[in-house]
Amino acid sequence: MSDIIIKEKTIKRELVFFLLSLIIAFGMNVYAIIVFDTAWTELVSKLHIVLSLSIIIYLLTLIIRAIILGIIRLIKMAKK
Amino acid sequence: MSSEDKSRRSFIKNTILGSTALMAYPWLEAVAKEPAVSMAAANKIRIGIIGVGSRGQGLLHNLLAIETTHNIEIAAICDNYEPNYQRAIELTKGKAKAFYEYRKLLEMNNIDAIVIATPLHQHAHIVIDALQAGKQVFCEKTMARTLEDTKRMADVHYSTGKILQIGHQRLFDTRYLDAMDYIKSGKIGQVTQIRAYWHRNNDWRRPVPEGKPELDRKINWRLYKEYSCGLMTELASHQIQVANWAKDAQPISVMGVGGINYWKERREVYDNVALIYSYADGTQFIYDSMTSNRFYGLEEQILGDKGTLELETNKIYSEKPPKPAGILQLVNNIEKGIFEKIPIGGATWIPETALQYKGDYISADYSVNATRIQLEAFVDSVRRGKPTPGLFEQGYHASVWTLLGQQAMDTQQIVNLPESMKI
Repeated sequence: MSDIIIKEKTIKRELVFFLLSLIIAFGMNVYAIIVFDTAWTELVSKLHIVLSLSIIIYLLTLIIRAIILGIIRLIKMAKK
Repeated sequence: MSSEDKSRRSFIKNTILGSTALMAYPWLEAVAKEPAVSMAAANKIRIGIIGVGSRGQGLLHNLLAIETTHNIEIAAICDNYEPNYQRAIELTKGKAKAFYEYRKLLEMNNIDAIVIATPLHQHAHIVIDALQAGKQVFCEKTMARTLEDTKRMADVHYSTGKILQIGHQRLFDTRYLDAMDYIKSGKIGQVTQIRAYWHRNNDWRRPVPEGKPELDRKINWRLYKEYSCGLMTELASHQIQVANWAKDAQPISVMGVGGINYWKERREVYDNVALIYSYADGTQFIYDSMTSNRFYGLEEQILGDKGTLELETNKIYSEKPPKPAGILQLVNNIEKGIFEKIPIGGATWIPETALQYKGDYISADYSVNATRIQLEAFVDSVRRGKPTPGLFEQGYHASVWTLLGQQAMDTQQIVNLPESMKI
């Protein structure tokens, strides 16, 4: 069984995607507080929900990227 | 004083000190105060227990647990049923003097107080004899089998000036105390309806020793009219007391129906009852009890225009439940948008089913043993030598309206409080 090597570039890219997910989730919390007129303390008190949501968004981006990558590879194979 | 005892007192203390209605619960003041208990043998309170069946043994256990902290002694026990008699001797390790005949126990000059937990029909004459013998008395609810006996007990209590405390442990339960505070402070708004029920699914019969069918009526006294009103005196009386306490009033009338629709054997008391008690301000107390379905168990629900209390489960529900966090509402909306089906045809109205809302706890911690606290309160009042204001009346009114409820069902008429029963 061969070792799996994760390049620094890959780690950086995934961290950026997760950070973006976190920002989106945080933004959703701010939006929800304004729209549903709830307390601003929810910015802190609901951080656990924001974190869970950011993980879900990150996983979704992972799935979408995997699908896109799969399609690109299929197209490349077809061209060859 | 044990740490358990200290915490129990501080519990009650916190409850009533934070209460806006301290004056409404005078019977608690003594419990909250640190007892000035002299541990000298001369100050020991000597207690006799008459009737040591299941409830009597429960009281005995609780009294034994406070023997040291409250400087009391279980000096005598009495029961005319041999297994109970022997078990009580065992529990008191043979230290208590044992009797088959209660009058012999009352003849003991060094007994200060009597605890009575006999079958209902025996309460009246034993209580009256005990009060007239100069003893302070704790008697289990319901007070008596008949209205006349109930009134006689009250008259003797007032004329002798001796303590007569009726066993309604909810009066010492922090859930109920906090709930009453919520009602009085207006937290649940105007109370316009009270509902209570006690549902079981069993025949309520206790096994009779083989070859001794003559003991059936003695053991299963709850099922025979001569001795009991069944569901009313054994269960409903607790909840009627709670309703009266919540309204801080007595009903003005009661109507009801009862029957035997499931346990059609030798029993004489109803196996299901349904009653409505009305208060002067128009509040209705709707009560039912049954013995063929236990799904809903027991509950007392106090309904106000701002909230609902469910006392047995220690819950309070606001009419305007707090909104969930914004982010949860947003996620919920997104979920609905993705998964919710658009109805085409179907119902043109939304059923007004119950609110799906978990509510809040009435009392932060309700694991206290209210039966023990009420016995502590009894011991404290015996030590003071005088009845606690307001406590007897709670038991009296609950007993009277329990029996009037039975009368309403038996006569199929709306029943009011007779002038002769007023105190």
